[in-house]
Amino acid sequence: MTQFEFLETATSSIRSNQRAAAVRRELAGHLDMKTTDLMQEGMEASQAQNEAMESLGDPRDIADAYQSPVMHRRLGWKAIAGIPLLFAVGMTLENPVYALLWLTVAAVIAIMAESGLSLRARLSGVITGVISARILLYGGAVAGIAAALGTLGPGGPITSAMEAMVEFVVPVLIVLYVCWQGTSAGTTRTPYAMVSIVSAAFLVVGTFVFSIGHWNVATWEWVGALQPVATAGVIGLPLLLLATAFGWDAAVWLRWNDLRSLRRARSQSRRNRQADRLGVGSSQ
Amino acid sequence: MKSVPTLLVLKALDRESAHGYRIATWINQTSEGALELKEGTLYPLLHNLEQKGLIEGEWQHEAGQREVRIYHLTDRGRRQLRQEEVVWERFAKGVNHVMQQGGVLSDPV
Repeated sequence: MTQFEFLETATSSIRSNQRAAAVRRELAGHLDMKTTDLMQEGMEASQAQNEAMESLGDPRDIADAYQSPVMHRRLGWKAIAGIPLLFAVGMTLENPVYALLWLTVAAVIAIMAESGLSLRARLSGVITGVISARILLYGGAVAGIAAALGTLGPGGPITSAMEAMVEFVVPVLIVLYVCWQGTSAGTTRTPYAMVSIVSAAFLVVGTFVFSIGHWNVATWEWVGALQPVATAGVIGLPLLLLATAFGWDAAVWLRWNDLRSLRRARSQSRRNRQADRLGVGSSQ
Repeated sequence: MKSVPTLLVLKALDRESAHGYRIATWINQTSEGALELKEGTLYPLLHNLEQKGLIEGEWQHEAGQREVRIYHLTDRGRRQLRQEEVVWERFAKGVNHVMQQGGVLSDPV
């Protein structure tokens, strides 16, 4: 393993690029000092570099040590929020109103999950939830188009294609999103990635069952009592969520400081790689 | 009582401001090799203590070397260390006292 690979693995669980770059810089400094000390004791350069890396231990253990317990708690809540999300997906075709009602329940759980955290962490969690909900909103929009096309020509080729899209593309999008969340957290052995993978499997199997079984909506008639609330929510909530989601996108693109730090982190990473190739502070 | 590595790191920084590598080597040398802090997990611990406001870090250039992050103890960290030292002394005294006793255990009444 080269020093570059070691540092990348050790910091793979840190989600902030800027922070990960700072930790890599610190660890690289440690390796340099250790290598120098070992060489002064008479060890050969390559051997000293390997020894220095070994003294830091398994880089995956370092990555695990950077996992936040707060993140695990939030993920637990998000997994619970996935259940009403599943209902929302399953009902999209049958009744978009009920689907949005379940979506609201999921959003409320996601927001509740943030209680007890710092304001920054809570906002970040809610925004993540909003982005997840946005995928479902797009799914809902596709379902609406499918329903509209269905009235024009039930059973027609376009309707079938749209139905297929709602039944399979939307769940696939959700699964991809969840998997991306998991893999961006680092190695597959982290609890974050494990939760993501289990949630993804749950969504795939559940959605398949819903699609095949054509859920009997009449069973859920009691939900109709909440119709006035649902109607207000159906109009207001998606607009609010969409506005926030697009607002967030715009804010990200406009936050030049963040983009600059991202560039700095990437150039640091490039420098590490160059140093690796040149054999400066590397194991090669 | 906080973890032993936390106590050792706070104690090391009470003596002088230092970077992670210096902290690890100081603990190892002072304990004559008896205490070897796991170097890899030292940094997550340092960053955790920094988040709690017990220590503060700043980047500095070392002569002829790359940038290093130097940590120093905050007032809050110093107060925490004093409390932990009292707890540790009681704990160590208690363990030593038990270890120095001979004889057999009497049956509980």
